[in-house]
Parts: sequence; C-alpha cells; structure tokens
Amino acid sequence: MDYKYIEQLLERYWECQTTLEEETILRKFFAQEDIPASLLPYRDLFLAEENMAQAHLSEDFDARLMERLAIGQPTGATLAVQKGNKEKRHAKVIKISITQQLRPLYRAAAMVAIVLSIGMAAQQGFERNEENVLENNALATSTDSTELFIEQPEMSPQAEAVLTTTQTDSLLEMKVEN
Amino acid sequence: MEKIRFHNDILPLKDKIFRLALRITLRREVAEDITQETLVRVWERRGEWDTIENMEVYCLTIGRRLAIDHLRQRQQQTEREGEITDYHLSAASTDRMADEVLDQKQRVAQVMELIEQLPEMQRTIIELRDIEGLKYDEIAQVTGLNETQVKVYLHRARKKIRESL
Repeated sequence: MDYKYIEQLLERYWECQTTLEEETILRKFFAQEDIPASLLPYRDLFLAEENMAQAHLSEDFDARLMERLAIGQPTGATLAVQKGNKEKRHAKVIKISITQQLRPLYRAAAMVAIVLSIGMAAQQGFERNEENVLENNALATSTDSTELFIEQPEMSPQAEAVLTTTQTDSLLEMKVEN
Repeated sequence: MEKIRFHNDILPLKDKIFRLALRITLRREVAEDITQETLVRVWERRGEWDTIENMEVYCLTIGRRLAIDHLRQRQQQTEREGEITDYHLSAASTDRMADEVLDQKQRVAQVMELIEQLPEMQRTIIELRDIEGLKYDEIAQVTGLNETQVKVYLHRARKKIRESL
C-alpha cells in the first residue's frame, strides 16, 4: 500500500497547512490497527489527542448547574405567588355565591307575595261581582294590600336569616383559609 | 423559549468548555467550576443571544477568560507563598521519556504530558484545533489573536511534539 498521500498530509500538518477535513483523514488513518513502521511514531500524538477528547464533566454537572440557574424548578417565591392567586380566586367565588344565593330568595319572596295577593284579590273581586256588592270593593282592595304588606315582611326575616348565616359561614371560611 | 435554546444549543457545548478549561488550568475540579460559571454567565446574558454569531466561540471565549483569570490568581498566590510548584514538570516524567521499552499506553500518556507542559497559548490552540476542530478564524476570536499568530503558536506546538515523537 502506498502511504505517500498520508506522508504528504503529515508534512503539511506539521507546517499548519492542512484543512480540518485533511486533519480528519489523518486522525482516521492513525486510528487503524495496521500502520507502517515508518509512520508508527506519529500515531502516539493522534491517540493522545483522541484520549484527551474523551474528557467529560461529572454526571451530576447538569443537576448542579440547573440548581444554580433555577431553570425548570419553581422556586419558593413563585410558589408563594401561585398560592396567593389561588386564595384570591377562592375569595372571589365566595363573594359571588352570596349574592347568587340570596338573589333568588328575594325574587321568590316577591313573586309569591305578588301571585298570592293578585290571586286573592281576583277571587274576592269575582265573588263580590257575583253578589253585586260593589261598595265593598274598596275595602277588599285595602285588605288585600294589607295582606300584601303582611306577607312581605313574613318572607323578609327568613331571607335575612339566610343572609346572616351565609355571611357568617363565608366569613368563617375566609378566616380559616387566611 | 430561552430555556429550550439553552438546553439544545448551549448545554451541549459544556464538554468543550470543560476541556478547554482543563487544558488551561490542568485541574479537573477547577475546570468543572469554570464550566459552570461560564454557563451561568451565558444564561444571565440571554438578552444578547440574538446578537451572537457563533455560540460555540462565544462560550469558549468566556470560558477561556475565566480559566486565564484563575491561572493568574494561582500564580500570584504561589508567588506570595514562595512555592515552587508546577508538579507537571516532574523529574520522573523526563526519566521515563528516556526509556525506550515503553508500551503504547505509556507513550500516549507521555505525549499528553508533553502537551500539558506547553505554554498556555500553545496548549490552548492545540486543544481548540486538534481536539475541538475549530477553524483558524474561530480560534483567533477565542484567543484574541489574529489568524497568522494562531498559526505561529500552533506551528511551534506541533514542532515540539514532533521532535519528542
């Protein structure tokens, strides 16, 4: 086998005239087992460099670096911020639920009162129309309106009671959370 | 986004930075610390990444600067303490060199020692060219020399190695 090409490359290598590609050819050549005696001494250099290229960092290097950079792991500060947001969100939900819970109660109370009074007024009105007692109409309406007023306060304390308990509950809940 | 770029483009350069720092400081533990410090600095300067043309050259330049700083500090400390160190230049290795019946492993180890004993700039350039495969213009950027100067240092280093083989 003719080694002239390798010898030429080597000469140019010592003179720093080889390209990176040519240096790779030399490295591959000297990595072989079968090297002619004349070129054998130079193999040591390429093997030494091959050996030096195998130097690597310790296995725990990445872990130590990431710990120092704090990439990928939430720090104590970010956790605190997340907790704060969660509490805020929760408090908001409770606020909405109070009004949502109470609004239908008021509505229901008002609706029941209106329906009852209208119904009773109509019934009484019809009965009296049949009996032709027209002069009593004014009195009946006044009674109806009193009934309306009586019924409404009857519902209101209930609603108020519910309001107070719910408020106390949510206040307690918020206190516990805080 | 920056995290992904750090993991994909920068972290894989760690062993190159490490080997350069090792070649300069000749101490494994120190080289590891320098590699970590280099990567921390690169991360801290992530705002500049888009302006960097060659990330490998950028990282190696920072790593080299830190390694040189360490060498200087060590030298000053040694001078203060009045020590004669450079344990690499031990008499034992020169004795062994004279021995002609060394097996290949020992001869390879000798070449590695010889490279370690080269002046800092020469062993840095051997590392960057022959081990990491950098182009001359890239080596020039890392070392702050021009390409001709890089070749002069490399030529001296290779000549010394050749004579020893």
